[in-house]
Amino acid sequence: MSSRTIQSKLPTPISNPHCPQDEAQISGTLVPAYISWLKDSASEIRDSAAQALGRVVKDHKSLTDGIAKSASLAALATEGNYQFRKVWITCAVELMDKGAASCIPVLVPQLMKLSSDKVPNVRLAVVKALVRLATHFDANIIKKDIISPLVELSKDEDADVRFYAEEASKFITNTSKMPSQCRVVPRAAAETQNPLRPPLSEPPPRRLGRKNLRHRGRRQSQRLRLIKKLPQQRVLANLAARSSQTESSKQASGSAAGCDDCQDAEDDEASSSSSSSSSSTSSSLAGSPATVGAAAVASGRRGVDHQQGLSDALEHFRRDWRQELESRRGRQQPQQQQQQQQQQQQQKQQELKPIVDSLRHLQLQKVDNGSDDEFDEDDDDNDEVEEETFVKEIKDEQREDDKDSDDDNSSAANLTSLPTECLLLIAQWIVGGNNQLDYRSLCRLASVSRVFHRLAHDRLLWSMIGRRLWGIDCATRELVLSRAQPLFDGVYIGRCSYVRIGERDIGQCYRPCFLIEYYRYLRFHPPARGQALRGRVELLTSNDPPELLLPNLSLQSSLLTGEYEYRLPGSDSEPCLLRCVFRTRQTGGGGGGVGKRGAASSAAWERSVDYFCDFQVKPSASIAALQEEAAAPAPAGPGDDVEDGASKAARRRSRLATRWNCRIHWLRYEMAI
Amino acid sequence: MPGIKLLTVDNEIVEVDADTAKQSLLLRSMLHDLGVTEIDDDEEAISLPHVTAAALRKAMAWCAHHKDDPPPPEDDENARDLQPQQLSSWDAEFLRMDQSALFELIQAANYLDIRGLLDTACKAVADAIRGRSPEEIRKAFNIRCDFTPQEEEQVRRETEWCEEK
Repeated sequence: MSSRTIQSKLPTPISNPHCPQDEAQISGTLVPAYISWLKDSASEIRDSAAQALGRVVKDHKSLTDGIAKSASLAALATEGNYQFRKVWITCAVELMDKGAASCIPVLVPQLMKLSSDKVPNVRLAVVKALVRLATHFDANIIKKDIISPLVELSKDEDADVRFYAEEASKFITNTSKMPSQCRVVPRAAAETQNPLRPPLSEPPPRRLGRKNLRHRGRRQSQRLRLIKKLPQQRVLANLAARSSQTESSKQASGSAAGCDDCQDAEDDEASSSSSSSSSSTSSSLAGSPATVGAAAVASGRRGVDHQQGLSDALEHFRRDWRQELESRRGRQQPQQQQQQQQQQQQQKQQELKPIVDSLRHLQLQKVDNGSDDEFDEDDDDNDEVEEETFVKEIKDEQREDDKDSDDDNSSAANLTSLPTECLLLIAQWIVGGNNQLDYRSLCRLASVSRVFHRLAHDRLLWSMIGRRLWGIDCATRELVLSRAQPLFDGVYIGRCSYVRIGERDIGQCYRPCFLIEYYRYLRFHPPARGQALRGRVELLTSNDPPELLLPNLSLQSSLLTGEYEYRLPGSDSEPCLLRCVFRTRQTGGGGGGVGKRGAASSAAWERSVDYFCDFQVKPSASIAALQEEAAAPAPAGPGDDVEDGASKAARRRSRLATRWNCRIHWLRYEMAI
Repeated sequence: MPGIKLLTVDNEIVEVDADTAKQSLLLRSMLHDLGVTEIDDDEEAISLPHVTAAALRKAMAWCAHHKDDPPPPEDDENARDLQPQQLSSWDAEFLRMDQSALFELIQAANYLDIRGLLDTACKAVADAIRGRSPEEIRKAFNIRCDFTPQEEEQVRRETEWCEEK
């Protein structure tokens, strides 16, 4: 609020006898508000504020000096951002054009200081200001302050600056020769004197565009701005609602020439300061006759769309062009040979060239059109900047294509364009999504590209896997991959076979042998959450080969379900001992035995038998069966065979031990839950 | 409940039902922080960077369908449960869209902080990735292999064991 204190120290203007109160009020409240709005982040607000200041000094000439000498206004001229320096020029032009002539000696030296500004846009604004103000200057000030910088400007590197500098010098020499009060309309005169602009031999040097500035700090401030935007707009809307004068709408549409609401939104500091100042002044402004200007500013913020014609056409062209680029990328298949790539790039450059050229052409035309109208000059300037940045964008795209190969897709259809946290979530789902703890898929992902390589080594994922497997928190990728343990994303298959000797048929001289083959499928499920080192296991014995059986493994009714348990081996080379327990229920007696044993076995019996299978899992995750036995010797059922229970169990054990006597293969298989 | 206006990144104003929008934690906390109780017609649109109009509509359609779901438990990021579950038929149908739209939807869900939708969509992508070879993944998602030959060799050795059957 430094502007406020400075303003309050100003001598009270008394020259206007009609409404001295108004002037005091205006210089105390409205003027500081306008000056603070000059630093707003939106260009139409800044421009409207500058023009509003012009209207203020037009009605109250006595205020001109006070405003011109204001320190906060002068500070704008040395602001780091060139947009603010430009708006200072706009403001100075308004003051000198509409205000009292006494401000000219104050403002002109500052204005001419900017003639050596490093940004061409600012220099251009300076010479345009000179053209417009040519009739206001007297010979003294021209000789003292203007002539020598103008000579420099007429040698400027920017073609537009040179052009306007020449125009300005013509007017200025004219006016200094004839000190009459006749006001020439400068632009019309320029038209008659120089109807055909000589075509530019080379494209003008690139000026700073807002695109360059927009990149900075945009991401961080997005949410901030989102929140901030609402109250600010509400205050402005209130201001607009309070002024009921019809004039406001007229002025608003006249002054609010820019339409791009989001432009120049890069300076959040500026916007926050302006929002606070606007809210603080809103109360003091209530009821003041000068709210008109504020309303104009407010409706300027709302963005009255003024730009038609060319800018629309450009917008369309841009959109089409982007689509074209995208579709072209989509069509191009990844190429292996570098030669082909180079050829394509050259071709692409050739395709791009006429477009870049035509854009430049458009730009030239635009400059020509620009000399028709006077007040929209600044907007044209913005458009030029936009066009230039767009040309630059296209060139950058070209350059990117040069650098990368052509199938690099920066469009939305690329998985790697997702933010990292989303990719991480996807990776989590890959590992744990189908309840298989599928870290093998994660490891495969690593060989897709660099982004995925990083992703597949993420500590978060591996500690999640370790927690599920062993219940420890600090597992790393190396630990998970090196320690022996069963795999969960497929089945272990043992192909077992035995020979059965058949009966000799009549007329045959030898007994046939049958080689019986069958498969045993073993599937481990990963430990359930919070149940480390143990889980569910399924065993299936079937004659069907894997290709027939696996597609509907989970539908098999003869699955034997059990539990497994193992320990985390102490070192990398140690195998992991794993024990599976299957509990089966055997039933007998009852109706089943009637035919065989008659009435003797009337009572049904049921018993459960636990099978133990011990396995050794080697560090390479290959698995070997150690032994298999049926524990819990079956209690003799009532009325069962008289055979000795112990001998029967021993016989069964010997038979079982041969079952896994085969190599167990691992088959990775994609299974439904 | 009246609608609120949202300005998407492609400069389109989408009006959504406020109750539905509150499934987005971002919008909920924003409405809460701003103290928006009643919504008038001339309210300015809330601008949403990163969110396209198509994705926003999709997301809001999902929210409307799932508005009676129990809210997800508030737990910390690391211990978050990934409940293995089959997609409901509605979700499966909902997610039938081309890749770029799906990725836009994920980005929108991530930005708007709609946990359930984000999980569902990410699971769909994960299912598309799982069990495929790196080459297939590259092809399916239009990803360029940017390893140098040396790196590629190193990565190949690292992941050799994955390829054994």
